[in-house]
Amino acid sequence: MLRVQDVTKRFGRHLAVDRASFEVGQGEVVGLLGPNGAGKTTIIRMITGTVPPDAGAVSVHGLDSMAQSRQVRGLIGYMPESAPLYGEMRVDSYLRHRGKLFGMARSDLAGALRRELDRCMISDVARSRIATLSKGYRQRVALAAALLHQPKVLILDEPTNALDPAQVRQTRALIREVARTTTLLLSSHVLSEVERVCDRVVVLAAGRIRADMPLAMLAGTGERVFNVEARQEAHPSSAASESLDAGALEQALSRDAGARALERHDLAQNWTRWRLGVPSVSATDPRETIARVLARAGWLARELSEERPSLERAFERLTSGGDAPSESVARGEAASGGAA
Amino acid sequence: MRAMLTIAARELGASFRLPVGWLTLAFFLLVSGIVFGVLVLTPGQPASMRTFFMVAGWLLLPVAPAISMRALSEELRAGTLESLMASPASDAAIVMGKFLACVATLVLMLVPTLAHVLILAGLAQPAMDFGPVLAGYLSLVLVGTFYLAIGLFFSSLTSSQTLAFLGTLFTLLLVLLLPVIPPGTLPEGVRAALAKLAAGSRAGEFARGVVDTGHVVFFLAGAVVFLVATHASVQSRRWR
Repeated sequence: MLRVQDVTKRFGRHLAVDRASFEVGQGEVVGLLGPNGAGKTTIIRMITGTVPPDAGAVSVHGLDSMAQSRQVRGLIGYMPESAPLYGEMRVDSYLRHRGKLFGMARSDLAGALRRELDRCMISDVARSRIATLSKGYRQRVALAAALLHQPKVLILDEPTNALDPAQVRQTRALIREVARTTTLLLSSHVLSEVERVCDRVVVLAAGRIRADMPLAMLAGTGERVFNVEARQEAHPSSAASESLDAGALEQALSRDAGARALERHDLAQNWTRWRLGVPSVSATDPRETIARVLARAGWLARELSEERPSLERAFERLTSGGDAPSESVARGEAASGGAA
Repeated sequence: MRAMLTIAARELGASFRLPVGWLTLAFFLLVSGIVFGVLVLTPGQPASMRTFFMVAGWLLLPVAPAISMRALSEELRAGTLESLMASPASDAAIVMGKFLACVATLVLMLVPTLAHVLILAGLAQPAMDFGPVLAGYLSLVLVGTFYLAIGLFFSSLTSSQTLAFLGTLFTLLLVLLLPVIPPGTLPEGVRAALAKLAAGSRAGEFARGVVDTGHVVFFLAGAVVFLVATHASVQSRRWR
C-alpha cells in the first residue's frame, strides 16, 4: 500500500532523514513517532511528492511518488501540520475547491461534501468564513478536505498540535472514527496520541528509524523499572552480613541484581527512595534479588514495586540519542505483516 | 485544465474578498477618473482617450504589482502552497491559474473605465474614432499581462507581499528606464539591445493607436519568459 524504501534526505549539510524504510499495509493505522526535528515531516513530504528523496523511493499502491507524482498525489489525503487553509473562504466553498482540485465530478462533490461535513462535525459552520473559526474547527475542516476525495491513504501531520485539551479530545475521537475505514499514517511527537489511535508505531529520532513494531511490544522493550524505599537500620538484624551505606548499596544492587539507579531521593527520617532499572532479560523476579541484597546490606524496605511498563519510557530510551545504531532497528514480528 | 480554472476561480474570488483588491480598484478608478475629467474631457479638443491611456499605463506600475503580489507570496506565508502542491494539480496549472486570475482582475478593473468611453462618445462632436480606443485598451491589457507575469515571478520568490511588490515595482522601473541610458556609458551593442527591451516607448506607441505586431509579440513573449521563470521557481520548491 504505502512503502518507504531507504529514503535519505539532506538539507545542505544537515542529514534530515537517513535510510528510512517502513511500510503501511491496507487498512493499517501506523504512528510515525519522534521528537520535533526527527524528520517526520520530511518523510511525509517525500511521500506526498512535495520534497524528492536524495536516495531511495516511496511508492503508493505500486506507483512511484516521483515518477508518477500526480497519480500518487491523487491517492493521498494529506493534512499538513497546523492545517493551513484559505481564511477568506467559506468552509463549503473551500471543500468544493479542494474536491475540484482532486478532479471530483460535480455530481459526486455534493454527496461527498455532505458526508464529510457530517462526519467531521462541521455542518454548523459550513457557511462560515474559515478565518472566523476556532483552531479546533479549522483542524476539522482541514481533515474534511483531506478526506473528501476518499483517499487510499490518509496522512496526518501532527493533527492535534496547538489545540486546547477539549479540542485535542474531539480531534482524536474524530481520527479514531476515521481510522476505522482508512489506511492512516499519523505523525506525532505526542505519545498518548499515537497510543490511542495506532496499531503500530514507527519511532524516528535524528532522521533514523529506531523502532517499527506494534505498540504493545514497544512498551515492553528495554528495562523494567522498580521503585524502592528503604533505610539503613541502626541495629541490623542477624540477616545482615554487612552494613553498607547508600553508595555501596547501589554497587551491590548493580553487582547482584544487574540494577542501576535511575534516580535517588533522600526522604525524611533517613528513608531513601530509588528508581532502579533492571534489564528485562532476567529470568527470576528481580524484586526477590533486590530484597535479598537489601536485607544482606542491613537495609529495611518499606516499598518494593514494579512500575507499569510505559510507552513513554520506551520512547525516551529509543529517542535519547546514540544508544541505538541505525543498523539495529528494533522490529516487531507483526511489522512485516502488513505488506502492500 | 480543470485544476487551472479551479485555482484561477479561487484566486479571483480571493482578490475581491479582501480589502486590498477593492482598494487597488478604487485607487485606480479614482486617479484615472480625475485624469479623464480634467485632461480628457476638455471642450474644443478632438475626442481622444490618448491622455487617459498614457496615464493608465503609468498607473499600471503600482497597480499590477499590487494585483500580483498576493498570488504566491500569501500561499507561501500561510503554508497553503504545500496543500496545493500535494494535490494532483500540476505546477504549470498552479502558475497559469494564478496568472489567469491576475489578468482577469486587471480586466475587471478596466471594465468600469468603459464609462469614460461612453461619456466621451456621447459628447463628441464630430463622432469619435473608436480605433485608437480599442488599441488603447489592448495596450493596457498587453502591458499589464507583461507586468503581472513579472509580478507573479517575484511573488513566487518570497513569502512577503511587500517584498514581492517592491521587487516588481523596481524591476518595472528599470525596464522603463532602459532607453534613458546615455550613449557611451555602455558598449553600443549592449545599449542598443537594452533599448530594444524598453517597454515604455512600446507602450507609448500603443496609446497613440498604433498596433505594431512587433510590440504585441514583445509583451507576450516577455510574459512567457517570466511565466516560465515562475514555473521553475515553483517547481524548484519540490527540489529543495
